[in-house]
Amino acid sequence: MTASTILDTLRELRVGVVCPPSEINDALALQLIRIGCSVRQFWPPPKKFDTDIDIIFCRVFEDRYHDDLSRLILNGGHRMTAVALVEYESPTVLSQILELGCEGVIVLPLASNMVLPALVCARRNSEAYAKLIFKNAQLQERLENQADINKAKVLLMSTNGWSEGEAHSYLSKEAMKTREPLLDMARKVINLLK
Amino acid sequence: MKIYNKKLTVGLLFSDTGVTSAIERSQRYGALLAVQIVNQAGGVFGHPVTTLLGDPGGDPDRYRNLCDDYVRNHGVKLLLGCYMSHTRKAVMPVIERADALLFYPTPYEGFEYSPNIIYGGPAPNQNSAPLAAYLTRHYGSKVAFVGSDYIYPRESNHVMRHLYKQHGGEIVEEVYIPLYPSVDDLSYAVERVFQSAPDVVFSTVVGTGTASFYKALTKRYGNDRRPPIASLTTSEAEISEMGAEVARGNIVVAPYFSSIDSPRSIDFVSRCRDFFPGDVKVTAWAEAAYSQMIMLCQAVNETKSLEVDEIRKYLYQSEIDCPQGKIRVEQQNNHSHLFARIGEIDSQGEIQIKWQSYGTIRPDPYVVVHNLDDWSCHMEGGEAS
Repeated sequence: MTASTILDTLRELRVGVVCPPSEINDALALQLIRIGCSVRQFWPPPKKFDTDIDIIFCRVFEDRYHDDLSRLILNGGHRMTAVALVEYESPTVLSQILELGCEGVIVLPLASNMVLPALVCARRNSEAYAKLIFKNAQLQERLENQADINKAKVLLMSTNGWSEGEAHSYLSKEAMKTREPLLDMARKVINLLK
Repeated sequence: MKIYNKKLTVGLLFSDTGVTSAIERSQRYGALLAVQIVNQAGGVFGHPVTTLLGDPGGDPDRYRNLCDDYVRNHGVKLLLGCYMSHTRKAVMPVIERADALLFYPTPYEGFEYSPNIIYGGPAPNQNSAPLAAYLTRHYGSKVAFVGSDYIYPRESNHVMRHLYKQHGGEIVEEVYIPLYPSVDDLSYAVERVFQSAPDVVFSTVVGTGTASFYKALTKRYGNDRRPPIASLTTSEAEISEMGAEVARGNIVVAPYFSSIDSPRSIDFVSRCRDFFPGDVKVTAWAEAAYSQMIMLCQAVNETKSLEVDEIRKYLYQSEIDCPQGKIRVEQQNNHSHLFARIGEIDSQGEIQIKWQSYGTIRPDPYVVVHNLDDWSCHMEGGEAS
C-alpha cells in the first residue's frame, strides 16, 4: 500500500475506540471525527466487533482487560490495525503492547496532534504486515507444490530409468491430455508409484 | 451600567517590523479599531478594554517570549495574533499550558486543532479548493508554484497539486525562495517560472518578497502576455507595495475584500481609513482580526466572564455580523464558518470580485483529499458581483 493510498482513504476508515468513558476517550473520538473517520466507541472490550472495524485505539492498562483485548484483536485478524494508548512505560505495559501486536502507540496525556501521525504509521505497518503474511502463505504453497512435482519426477525417473527431461515431458503431456494441472498429475503419479 | 471589578486586557501578537510587518500591522490596527469601537460604546465591564502590544519582529522565539510575558507577568489569558504558521506553533505550548485562548486571524494550512485556539482565517477547503476550481475553469491547465520556504506554502502547494491533478492539470514548475529573498533568489525563481511557460502562477510567497516577486515576474515578461499570479495571501497591503501596474490582472482569494459594497463593509472601510496610519491597508486579515476582537469583546460582555471556558461556549452559540457577512465558530474544530471570494485586481489596483460563495463555508481543516468536482459545480452557482 503506497503512502498516497493510505492518505487518500483516511476518511473511509472505520475506527473503534476501546477505552473506558473518560476525557481521553472523548478527546480521542472528537479528534478522529475531525480527521473525518467514522468512529464507534466500545467499552468494556466486546468479544468481537459486530461490524467491520479497520483500526482500533485501545487503552492498555496494567493487566486489567488484557485477555479481553487479546481476544478482540485476534478475532479482528491481520487486516485490523491496533494502536495502544498507554499511560506508563513500565515493563508490564510494554510487554502487553508487544503481546497484543499493536502497530502503533500513543503515550498519554493525549494531544490532538498525536493522533493522525500514529494512525497513519500504524495503518502502514499493518497493511505491510498483512501483505507479507499473504505473500508468505503464497510462497509456502508454491514451495510445497514444487516439492511434489519434483518427487513425482524422481519416482518416474527411478521406475522407468528416464532422464529428468523425459520425466518432465511425460508429466506435462499427461496433464495436457487430461486437461489437469501439472501439480494434480504429479500427485496422481506419486499415489500410483508410491 | 453596572461597574465590575474586572477589566478585559487582550495581548496582541503582531509584528511591527520584519518580513510580514505590512500585513501584521494591518491586523494589529484592525484589532485596535475594534477595541476603539467597543470602548466608545462603553467598553467591557464598564471599563475600557486595554491591549498589550509588543513587536516580535516576525521571529518565532520572540513570539514565544512575548506570549510568555503576557501570560506570566500580566496575567493575560486572552490573546489575538500571529501570522506565519511557525510563529503560531511557537506560542501554542505557552497558550495551552496556561489554558489561555488565542484568536488567530490568518489563513493557514489546516491540520491543527487546539482547544485553546480560535482559528479565524480560512483553512484550505475555504480558499485553495474554490481557487483551484476557478483557475482550472478560467485559465489553462499548466500551473507553476512559487512559494516562500516555510510550512504554509509547502502545504498549500500539496493541496493545490492534488486539486490540479484531479482536473488533468500539470504542475510545470515548483520553486521556493527564502522568506527574505535576495535579488538572485528572485531572478532564479522568475527565470524558472518563465521557462516553464505556465498558464497561471500560483504564488504563496508572503511578506515583503511578494511585491518584489510580482514586480520581477512582470519585468521578465516585459511586453509579452504575462500569466496571472493567483494567491491565497496577497492582499491590499501587498498590492499597494507592488503598485497597480504590476498587480493588475492577478487573482486573489479571501473571505473579505475592502471593495465589497455592503453597508457594513463600506462603514468598516471608512472607519479603517480614519483610524489606520496612512501606510496601513485594509485587508482581509485586518477584517479577520477586527471581527475576532469584536467577537471576543462581545463574548466577555455577554458572559460577564473572563473564563476561557465560558467565552468558548458563548462563541460556539453565537453568530457575529462582520464586514464579510455573518460568521460563526464551529464547535467541532474551533475554526470559523467563513465566506470565500475570488477577485481580480483591476488597473486601479482595486480588487474586483469575480465569484463569491452563496453563504459561509464550513471549515474542514483535516481534508487530505479535496474534491475539485464538488467545487467546480459551485462555480456555476456562486454569485459574481
